[in-house]
Amino acid sequence: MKKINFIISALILVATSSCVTSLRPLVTYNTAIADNRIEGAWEQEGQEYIVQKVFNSDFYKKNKGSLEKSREQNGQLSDKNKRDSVLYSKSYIIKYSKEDLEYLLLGSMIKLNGRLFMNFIPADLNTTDSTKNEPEFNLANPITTHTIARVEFSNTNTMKLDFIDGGYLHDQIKAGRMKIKNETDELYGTFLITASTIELQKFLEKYGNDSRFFNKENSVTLIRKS
Amino acid sequence: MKKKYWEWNHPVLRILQHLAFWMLSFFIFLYLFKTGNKPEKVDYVYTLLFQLTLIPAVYINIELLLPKLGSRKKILFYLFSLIALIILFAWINYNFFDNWSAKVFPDYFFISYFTFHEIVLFFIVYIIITMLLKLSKSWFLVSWLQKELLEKEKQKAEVELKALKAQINPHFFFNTLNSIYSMALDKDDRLPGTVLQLSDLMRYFLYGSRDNFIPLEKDLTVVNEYIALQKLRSNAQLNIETKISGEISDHQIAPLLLITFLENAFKHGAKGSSGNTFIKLDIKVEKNKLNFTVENNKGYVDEVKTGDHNGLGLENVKRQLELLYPGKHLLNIKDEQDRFVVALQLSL
Repeated sequence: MKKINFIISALILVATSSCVTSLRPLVTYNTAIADNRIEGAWEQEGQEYIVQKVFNSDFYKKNKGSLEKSREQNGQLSDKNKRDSVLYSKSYIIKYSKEDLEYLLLGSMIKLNGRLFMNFIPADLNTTDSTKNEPEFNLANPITTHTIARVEFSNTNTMKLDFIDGGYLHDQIKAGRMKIKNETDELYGTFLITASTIELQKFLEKYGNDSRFFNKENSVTLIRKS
Repeated sequence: MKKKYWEWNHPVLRILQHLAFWMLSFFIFLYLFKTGNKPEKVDYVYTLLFQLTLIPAVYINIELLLPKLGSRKKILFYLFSLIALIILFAWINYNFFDNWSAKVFPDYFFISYFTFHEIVLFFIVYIIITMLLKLSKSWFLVSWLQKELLEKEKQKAEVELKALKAQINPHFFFNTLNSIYSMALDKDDRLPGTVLQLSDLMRYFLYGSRDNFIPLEKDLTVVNEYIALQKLRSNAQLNIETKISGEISDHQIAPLLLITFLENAFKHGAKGSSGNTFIKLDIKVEKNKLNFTVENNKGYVDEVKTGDHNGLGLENVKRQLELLYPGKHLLNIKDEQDRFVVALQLSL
């Protein structure tokens, strides 16, 4: 339950509930890019966000042992782990705290048609209250979904994240004007994009600058903390 | 009534055929491309646009490249042009869906869901399908025209055959009437019987030879009557040997063939001879093959006057053989100094 709560909370805290989620990642190991402008401490309406490269992060240090265990008997990484290593080497951990819980997101970036996009997935959930038990969270959860945002730097101290407006996408799909694979839960009115990574990338290459896809309400502006 | 090819190939029908093909193609694509369980508006728009990039490539190929460059001499040039055509329109398709469509249809959101190579494959498949359809249509046209040509040739042959028969009959009767005229001048007592036999022969020629084929037995009866007729009007100097053997029943033969050769033998042999003349006739039927040989010695004076009808009977019968027994006859004519031999073999 805490896990579900985390996923929902994480998204609410980062943006709004109308963000679109995707079953497939937008960024893969061979398309990920690193942009160190994102590193550092950021703030939005009193909420602090810490962004670190994965391999420099506390999260990595904490989990290094278990990651090393994943090496095969000959000491080599499996192909999947190799790909993950490449992806993580270019990815970032975004950390923030709220109500005695510490949320960690894994953010990977890609440049499409000259624009930066970030793919978020939940990475970990910790309690900051030592009197409480650690919440359960499994990164390898197969139902992990991805949230996508456009990243814009006005200057080195201001970063804007424009999350894709899920409400607009859902309306277009329901009206039969958007052709993208999706699954809709009619009972709760929620939907999940199930298009492939390539299709997601092509969609954002084409419509990444279309203002209709990025509602102001889904926009977050972060200011670098001095 | 059977429709002619041009009626099937009427411009309106052709347009309908093409429309039917593209409609079928549209619905196949629609169900192939649809995202959900049932096609949405965007699926119709996407499929229509996808097909609109295929159509020009297909028609440029079948209406322009194929007719102008489809020959063996230009095959390499054609292949290069075809490859260029496919790459060009696949590129247009790819870029249209990935970039340009947002400007033309700003309220519909789609991308190119296929890689460039997959689109090229789509084009190749459509080019092949439409070329096969075009070729099968051409094959249909050719076979239709061949059928029409055969029909026309058959009609022409029938008309020609009728004309030949019309020529043979008068030719025979002129000769026979000339003989009867001679008998009348000689006040020959056999004249009445001869006229009766001629009457029988005329009945046969007029009513029995209307069909292309008649029973062989009947034809040989006429041959015998004809010989009898000739014997009656000839004198003792004429030596006729007749030999008919084999299975003559259950076979058919074109009328007037044999009698024409026989008539020729009498005309050029018996009538032109000064005496001691002979005609040898041998007819043998074996294993559906008829072997006919007629041999006569030649007279020093040919009574038959040269003119328009001289030799007409033999030429007519040769043409008749070509029309009725194409590839099924062997005619050998030996015109030697003192004898004339006709050998005919027919597959019955």
